[in-house]
This record gives sequence, structure tokens and C-alpha cells, in this order.
Amino acid sequence: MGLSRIFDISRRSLATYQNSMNIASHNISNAANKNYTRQRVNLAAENPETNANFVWGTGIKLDSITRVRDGLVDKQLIANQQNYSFNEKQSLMLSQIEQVFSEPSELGISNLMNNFFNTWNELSVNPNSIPLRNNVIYAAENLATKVDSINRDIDTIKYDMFREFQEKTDTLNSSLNQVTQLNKQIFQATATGLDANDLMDQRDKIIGDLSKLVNLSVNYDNNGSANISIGGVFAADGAAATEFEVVNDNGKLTIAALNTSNHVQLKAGEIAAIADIYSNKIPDYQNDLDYLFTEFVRQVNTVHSSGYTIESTPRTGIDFFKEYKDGKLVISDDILNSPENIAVSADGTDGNGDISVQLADLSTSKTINGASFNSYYNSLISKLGNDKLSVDRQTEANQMILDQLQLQKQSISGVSVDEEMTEIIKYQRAYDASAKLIRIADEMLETIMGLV
Amino acid sequence: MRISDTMLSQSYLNNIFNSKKRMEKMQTQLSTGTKVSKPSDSPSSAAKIMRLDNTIKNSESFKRNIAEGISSLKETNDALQGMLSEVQALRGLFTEIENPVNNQYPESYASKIGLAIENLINMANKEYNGKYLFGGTDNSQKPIGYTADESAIELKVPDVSGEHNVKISSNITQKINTTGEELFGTIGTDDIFNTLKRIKDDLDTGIIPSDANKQLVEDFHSNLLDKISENGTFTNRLYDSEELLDNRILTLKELLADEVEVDVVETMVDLEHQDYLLQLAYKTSSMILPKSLLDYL
Repeated sequence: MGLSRIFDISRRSLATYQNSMNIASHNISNAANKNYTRQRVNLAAENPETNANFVWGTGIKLDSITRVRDGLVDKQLIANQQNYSFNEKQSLMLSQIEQVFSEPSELGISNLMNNFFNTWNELSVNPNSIPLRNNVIYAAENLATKVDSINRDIDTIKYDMFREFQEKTDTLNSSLNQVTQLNKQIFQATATGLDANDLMDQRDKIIGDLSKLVNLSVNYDNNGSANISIGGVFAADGAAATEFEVVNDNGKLTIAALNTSNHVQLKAGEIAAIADIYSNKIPDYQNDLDYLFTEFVRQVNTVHSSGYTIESTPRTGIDFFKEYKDGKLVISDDILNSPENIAVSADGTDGNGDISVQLADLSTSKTINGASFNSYYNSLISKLGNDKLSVDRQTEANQMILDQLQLQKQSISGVSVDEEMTEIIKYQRAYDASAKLIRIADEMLETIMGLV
Repeated sequence: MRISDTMLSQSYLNNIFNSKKRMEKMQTQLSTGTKVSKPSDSPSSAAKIMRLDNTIKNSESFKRNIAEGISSLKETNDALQGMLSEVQALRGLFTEIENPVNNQYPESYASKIGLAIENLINMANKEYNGKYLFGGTDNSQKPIGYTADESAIELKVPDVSGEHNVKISSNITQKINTTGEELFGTIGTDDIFNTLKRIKDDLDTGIIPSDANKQLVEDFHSNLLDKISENGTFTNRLYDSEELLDNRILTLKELLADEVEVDVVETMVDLEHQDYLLQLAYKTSSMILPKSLLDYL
């Protein structure tokens, strides 16, 4: 038992506190880094020595450096992030679709269609008036232009959505690859006894980003690797990552593992949001719109073709609209060639406008699934509005939960400068004391040397 | 609960963000003046707005029809009044002819009656806005005129019985014309034109008008009075409908305003309050956020 033991213990404690200071300063320098998990130094007493039947303490050692986090909060964050991103993305896309319809305004289909029927009504007052007949044609053209632009705009939105879907899938693939790479690095590091805390932070960040994209579940195995599966399909582990490809199955978008028929069950995240809007919501709106205008064309034509034109030899059986096809409402060439071909006379005389009264009556008759044209259209707009409103509300609710969870996470894993500074003061004092101990030991040694 | 540094700034940002989101919504409402600028603002209101808007537009369209109908009825009334005074003059003429002092000059009366026939035909062919008032629904040519040999008066079109119906509200259709058929009956022998022609031809040969012929003119006179009063009834009905529509439009516009318009005062006050809270948050944060133990070491 010699004095040198004091030197040993002090030297060890100097090193330990210096390392602890390093960690504290690492924490402080990452105070503003949102993805950083604060690290804690676990100090422990060095293994004691037994000598002459006494147990001699041998000082302090730096046992380990651990990340401070709560696995449950992390799991909830991942789950809620998926829902939030899903609803937020849907809200964003639905607001684009909502804008296309430009309701309620003078420029929407509701007003243009009503205007179309009103021009018929007014034509009935002066059935042989060419200006009033032209008004009918203009009103029909305005309506046709709007219907066309709505359908074109929705097509454009769908095209953009498809592109975005592909890009997001690419991002998904590269992120999954990164997770696998990081899994490998973390395994190598821990296998050689090193702490891989910062690598784990990187991996957490990527998994967080992934949970914005798609519904995934994460499990950590004994090697510390994150095993990810997406909607029932294996996605990434410590050895390999799956590459996903976009599948467009009859207008239904989904993703599947490359060259397999393993379709992912998309439930949450932005990728699922795009797939849902693209495959379900938009076709639903389009079907309603298509049905509305197919019926509109059919019914207007049925009434119109029963009337007579006001040409010198009146003709009958003329269609007002040529067709509604591929989202285009087309006025028949006969009508466009001459307003005289508008057939509103019930008996062939040019002053009879009974057919135009009947056409105006179409606007209120409940002939389309028990609703009038306008109320059928109104219910489509209500449906769109309600869809948007409900995802908006869910987004808001998710946002609140997410904010709360993020605060919880920050509460556990975030750096507190106050705390770190206090630690530093503690380490500094301990370091001071250890250094002093060396001086005292030195003095003691000197005293002994002076005896010689 | 442990408070880390990022928490303070994060929850501060969340709150500022929420506050600004509310302000954005109020500002949009104030600058557009409407509570519902897209369906998702309130799906039920949006549907209601579209429905009210359409009903107002429909009512306005009916009002245009009524205005058109009233002016057409006025023109018809003018023509009928013209015919009435013409026929009343004829009745005076017939009494004059009865007088033995006068019946020595039948030719002069014949030419007067000839002129009256011309006038009546002109009035029967009166045109308004591209339509012949008494031509039924056939506007291809003047409905009444002499035959080629000028021996009689005939219909120039196949039919003058066409009724002209106009919608004046979503479920009322109103006839706005007096048809030639209603007014003149069947044109051929006993109608006013051919009767007068017969009287004229008789006078040309020195025969004074027969009682039978004079009775036919009387019949036309009373029918004319009927039609004038019917016409007046139609006009009144249209005026009544117009007033009803005006009231309806007013009510609908009030309803629409309730649905659409922003309560400016309320929204302004809310906005001010929100702005005040935001300023307060800024001030507090500038005092608290940068502080840490470091400031005191």
C-alpha cells in the first residue's frame, strides 16, 4: 500500500471528469439540435482491490454513456406522425380540388347551370328572338367551358399526384437503404464495444421521416438493429432493405415490393394519403360529375328533340348537346351553326315556346336520383366540403397530440443548458479537488523525501 | 416535469402559430367579407348559399319575363283600344246611314267603311318585338289580308290560335297574348272584316247595312270589350306577381346575407384581441427565452 495509489486514483478521476466534461459540452453544443438525444455519463466506482484482507476502493471510472429516451413516447410519436401526415396531406390535396370547383361563386357550375336554364325561361317570352337564342348558346358554352376546365384541372392534379407518389416512393426506398446502412454501422460499433449514440440519433431521425411517409412498425432486435415493416411487408433490417415500386392497378395506386405481388396495406402517412385521394376520393367526385352531366345531356336532349326549329322548313329531332364524353360537354354542330336550330316550338310555329318552358322546368324537376340537377350538384360540393372539413379537424386533433408528444420527448431527451452547466460546475469542482489531491500527495511524497 | 431548452421555444412557437392561424382566418373573412369562401368553411352553408343564390337568380329571371309580358300586354291593349274606337265610330256611322237624309249618299259611306277595314286589318297585323300580336304563335307573315282578287279577307297563315305561355314563377305559367282566333273567331264569312266588306259592297250598290250584319259588328264589339277586360286582368296578375317576386327576392337576400356576411364588428374585436395576445407573447418571450444559468455565472 503506497502513496502511488493516491496518484493513480486522482489521475483516473481527472480523466473521468474530463471525459464527463466532454459529454456535457457535447450536450450543450447540441442544445438547439432537435434530433439530438441528450447523453448521460454513468459514473461508477472502479473495481476495488482486496489486499491484506481489506477492500481498497480504487476510485472512479466512466462506466457508460447512454442516450436518455423513452421508448413508449417514441413509439407513439411514430404512430401519431403517420396519422398527422396522412390527414394533413389529404387536407392539402382536397383544398386543391375544392379550388377547382370555385364554389360558392358566380363562376361555379351551380350558377352557370342555373343560368343556362334561366336563358331557356327567358327565351320562352320571345321564342323567335335570335339574341335570346344566342343567349342560350352562350350560357351553354360557358357551362361547357367550366365543366371542361374542372375535368382538365382534376386530371392535372391527378397527374401531379401520381408524380408525387413516385417521388415519395423513391424517398422511401432511399431512406430504407439508409436505415439498413446505419443498422450495420451501429452493429459494428457496438460489437467493438463503442457507443453508437449519435448514429442512433441519425437512425431515429430517418425513421421519424419515414413515419411521415407511410404506416410502418419498428422493432429493435438483440443486435440493436431496427427492423421495419410497412403495411405487412418486410421493409428493412440489419441485412437488407426492400425496394418498393409503384403499382397502378386499374386506377388504384399502391406500392409493392419490387417484382413481387406483395402489395402494401397503405393506411397512414403521405403515401397512403395520396393513394386514397387518387384511388377513391377523386374517382368518386368524377363519377358524380360524370353521372350528373350524362343525365343532363340526356334529359335536355330528350325535351329539345321533341321541339321544332324556326327554319323556313321546321325540323324536329335535333339534339341540343352532341355528347358528354371524356369530361367534355359538347354542344351539337346544328345549334352552333345557327341559333334558328334551337327547337323550342311545340307545333312548328315560330312564336311557340312551350318546349323552352319545359326545358326551364327541368331545372326543378327531381329527375336525377330523386334530386334536381342543382341539388345533386350541391350534394357533391357538400360531400367535398365535408371530406375536407373532417380531415382538417382530424389534422388539428393530431397536431395537438403530436405537439404534446414532441414536448414530452423534448422533456425527456432534450438538453437543458441549466442542467448541463450545473453538471459542469460539479465536474469542475471534482476535477479541482482531484488535482489538489495530486498536489497533496506530491507534498506528502516530498515530506518523505525530506526525511532521507 | 423536466423542462429542456428546446421545449420552451417549441411550445412558444406552437402557440404563436395557432394564434396566427386564427388571425389569418379572421383576416380572410374580413377582407373577403364572407364567412364561406370555400365549401369546407361550412359545407352546409355552402350548399345553402348556392341554393339561395340560384333561387334569387331564378326570381330575377321571372321578373324579366314579367316585364317583357307586361309590355307585350300593353301593346295588345293599345291595339284593342284602337279597334274599339274604330268599331264605335262604325256604330255611329251605321246610325247615320239609317237617317233618310244621309242614305242618299251610300258611296261616301262605303269608302269610309273601306278605310275602317284597312285600319282594322292594320291593327290586327300589329307587330311588336318581331311578333304579330294577334297572329297566335305563327310569326312567319302578317296574319290577315285581302285575298288575291281583293273580294274577301282571309287568314294568311294556317292558324292564329296559338297561345303564348310564359313562366312567371317556378309553378305558374301565364298566357300573355290574345289570339287572333279568340278575338276574330273564324275568318271567312261572319268575322268583322268580311262582314264590313259585305256592308261596304252593299253600300256600293246602294243597299243600307242589314240588321244581321250590324248584329255581327255588335257581337265583335262586345267580344272586343271582353278581351280588353281579360287583357287588363292578365296585366294586373303580372303586376301582382312582380310585387310578390320583389318581396321574395328581398327575403332571400336577407337570408343569404345571414349565411354569408361576416359580422365585421365582432370579427374586428376578436382580431384586435388576438393581436393583443400575440404582442403579449412576443414581449414575454423576449424577456424569458434567452435566460439561462449562463446569465448569472
